[in-house]
Amino acid sequence: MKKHLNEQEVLERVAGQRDAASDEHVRACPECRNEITRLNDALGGFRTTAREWAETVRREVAVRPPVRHRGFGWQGLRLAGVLAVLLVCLGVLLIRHEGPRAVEMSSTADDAVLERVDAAMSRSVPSAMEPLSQLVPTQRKELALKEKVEGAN
Amino acid sequence: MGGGLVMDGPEGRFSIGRRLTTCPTGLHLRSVATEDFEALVAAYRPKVFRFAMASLRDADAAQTVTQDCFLKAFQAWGRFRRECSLDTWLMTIAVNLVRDSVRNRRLQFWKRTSQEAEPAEIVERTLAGCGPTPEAQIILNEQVKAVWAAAAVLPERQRTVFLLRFVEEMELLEIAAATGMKEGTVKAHLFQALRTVRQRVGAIR
Repeated sequence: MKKHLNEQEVLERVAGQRDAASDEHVRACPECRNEITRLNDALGGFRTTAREWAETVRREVAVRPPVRHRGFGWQGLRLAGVLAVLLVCLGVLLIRHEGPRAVEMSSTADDAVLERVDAAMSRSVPSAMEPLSQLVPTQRKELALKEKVEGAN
Repeated sequence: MGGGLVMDGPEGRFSIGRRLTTCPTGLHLRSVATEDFEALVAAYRPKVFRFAMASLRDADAAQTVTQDCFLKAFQAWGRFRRECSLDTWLMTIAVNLVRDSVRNRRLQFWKRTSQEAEPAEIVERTLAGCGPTPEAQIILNEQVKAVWAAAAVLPERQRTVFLLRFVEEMELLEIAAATGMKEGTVKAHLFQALRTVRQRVGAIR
């Protein structure tokens, strides 16, 4: 005799697919027979209770109008309201948390701009004319030139 | 004259269609096709509701799916060519609606579902006296609860195939037609689902 039905063979029998070989084995093997009977009983009980349950509920539901599960409804609106309030609270908290740092960052940026303005204002010549200023002799060069001329005289 | 369908029965009024067909006397006029359709609703409504309920475990959602299923069927009634059985055709619509409902519920996660009763309570009530001994009864109850628990955690496709096979007792080819999958794919999903169920049931001895 074959050892035992494997899982697939057991499931096939439970699903209603039988063949002569497994029929013969089940007749001769009490273990496999018990396993299949156990599963069939559980599934049969499930079928009976599912039918009974549906019938009971159907009779109860039939006397009241159906509720349609469509749209948001009050529950959805309530949830949307709670979410909106939470979002607003979160926004306020974020703004409060980010506030001092933002002011600090903006004052640093202002300082940097002012420094650049000061630097621009304190230039002797505009930046566009700086290359030309290289060609013009500086005061020290002029003095050295004067001394040279006087010494020669 | 509108194309509506109104059904009055012991379970209350069930209406399909946006406009009601009324004659001056206030009676609803029904065509022959509509009469056929009413019979169809009466015959298949429990099955569609049962599948929706087992899939969604929410009475209101299952009721909505059932109503929508017959509304869609009514709208497409003239185009139904009887290439597959009526049963399979209706289950195809139901499977698609359940899938949509599952997806919508994922998006509307904040919504409360209206569960009527836990399957666990139903198991004990329904299976009372099925076991030969009290011990066997307890084990059977636990095993059936394990199947319910396993079905709840199965991926959507596996659960659909599993429920169609073991609750609706549909053949693999019918499941393939209803779900739009190939037979081999149906088998693969079914065996995977059974593997999960077997693991859970196997843990109870």
